[in-house]
Amino acid sequence: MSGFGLNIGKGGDFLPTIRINGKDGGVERSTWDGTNRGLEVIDDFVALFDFATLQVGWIEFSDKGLDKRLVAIGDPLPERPSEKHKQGIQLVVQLPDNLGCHELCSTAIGVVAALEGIYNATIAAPEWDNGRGQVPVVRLAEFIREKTRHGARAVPVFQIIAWKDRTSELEEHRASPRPRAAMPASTTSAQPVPTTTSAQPAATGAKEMTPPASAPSRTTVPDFG
Amino acid sequence: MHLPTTDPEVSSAGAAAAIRSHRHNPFEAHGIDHISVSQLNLWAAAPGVYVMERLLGLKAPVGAAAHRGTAVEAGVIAGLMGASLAEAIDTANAVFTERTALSSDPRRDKERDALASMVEQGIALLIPWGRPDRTQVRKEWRMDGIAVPVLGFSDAEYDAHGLIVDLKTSHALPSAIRTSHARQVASYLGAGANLGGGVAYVTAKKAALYQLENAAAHVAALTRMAHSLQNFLAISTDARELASLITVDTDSYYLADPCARQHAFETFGV
Repeated sequence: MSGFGLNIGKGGDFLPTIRINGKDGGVERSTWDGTNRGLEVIDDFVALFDFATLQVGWIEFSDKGLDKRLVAIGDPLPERPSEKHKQGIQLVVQLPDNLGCHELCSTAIGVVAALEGIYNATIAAPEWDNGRGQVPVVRLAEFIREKTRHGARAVPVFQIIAWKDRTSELEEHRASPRPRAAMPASTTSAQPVPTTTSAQPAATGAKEMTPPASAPSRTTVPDFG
Repeated sequence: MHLPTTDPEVSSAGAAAAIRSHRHNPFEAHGIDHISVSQLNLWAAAPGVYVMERLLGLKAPVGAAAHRGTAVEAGVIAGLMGASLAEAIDTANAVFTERTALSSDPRRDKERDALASMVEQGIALLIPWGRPDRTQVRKEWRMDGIAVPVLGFSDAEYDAHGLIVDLKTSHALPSAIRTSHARQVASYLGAGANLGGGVAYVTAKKAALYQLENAAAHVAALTRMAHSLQNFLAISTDARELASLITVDTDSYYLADPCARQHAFETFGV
């Protein structure tokens, strides 16, 4: 991070994007052949969703492009820049078959709510291990069409179909909150060293585990390299 | 053939080397080539009983309750791996019978009566998690600064859930994981491993699977316990001398067996 607190030059600039159409359904990704930019429809959207890259804040979609004022989870939300800016989120996902990392950015209520659902499922999973573990392979199973007083919308239904180790490409885009006085001096993601200075003995665990709703998915997992 | 030397300098040099070796690995002098979490738990709970059993070799017969645990575990694992309930109960009964054939423990029949219900409860609790990918997995790892490895066996491992489960039987269902059990499961997870742990408690009427918390803290506690044991063993290579440094609580659960009580009297004079 630069001295101005901006994420410049981290290798995370100008990623191609994924657009989930929260009104009519469908998924597109931006393409770049070295000369022309284009859009490509993705029929079966499956990707590594790395919520360690998640950022939240204010986003304005305009003819000039995107204006994003985003922060990592754990940082205070910035002031709303304008009435045109909506609350939204952004995370980095990695597509299979060497298509690489893409930014998934949305302010659509249905899309954000669906992403929140898969986010909650992810961080509750033991595989996630507080961001130090694996990354879910997420499939967009379907769109549920709804009519609201603001018009039609298409709500994506996401499913975790497998877990994979975090790739080095995703690791480059990890979003970390800025250190604050109340936080430990080190923000390393390494396993915390057991300390003897704890004021009380560690709890052992009294939370009952519930079995999975169904047998683990045997859906074929694409190759992420 | 090596004859004892009569040269005092050579003799003292040899003794010094032996002492250095024992200081380096105090376990070695007492014939200990590995430790287990249950041994460390015993050391923490009843150091005198540890010295009596592990260093002096004065072990009391294992009670029927311990064999019940082994038998139920065998039955539940059999059921999870595909055996019918009847076959699983038969497995538990067979293991229990084999282990207690010569037991005079008055609780033997009571423990045998509980086997079938416990096996049924255990299978019902764990079958929704699917078939384990591995059972009775050998776990050997080392603690920083401890001269011997730690050895244990996890009961069931589930790759799809990233979960290691240890099965415990009891006549009363705990409301949380007992500390000694938490240490055991934590030791199976390993530092930095992407796995969660759980303890499945099974009684004849109820069962619950609790999620392990603070695994790293429990491993740290185990490490401190191991250091205290290692330091204690470094005091002397003579187990009798070590026994003279401590004593036992004669009302302890560990001395409930008459044989164990007699051993304690003979060792500690109390």
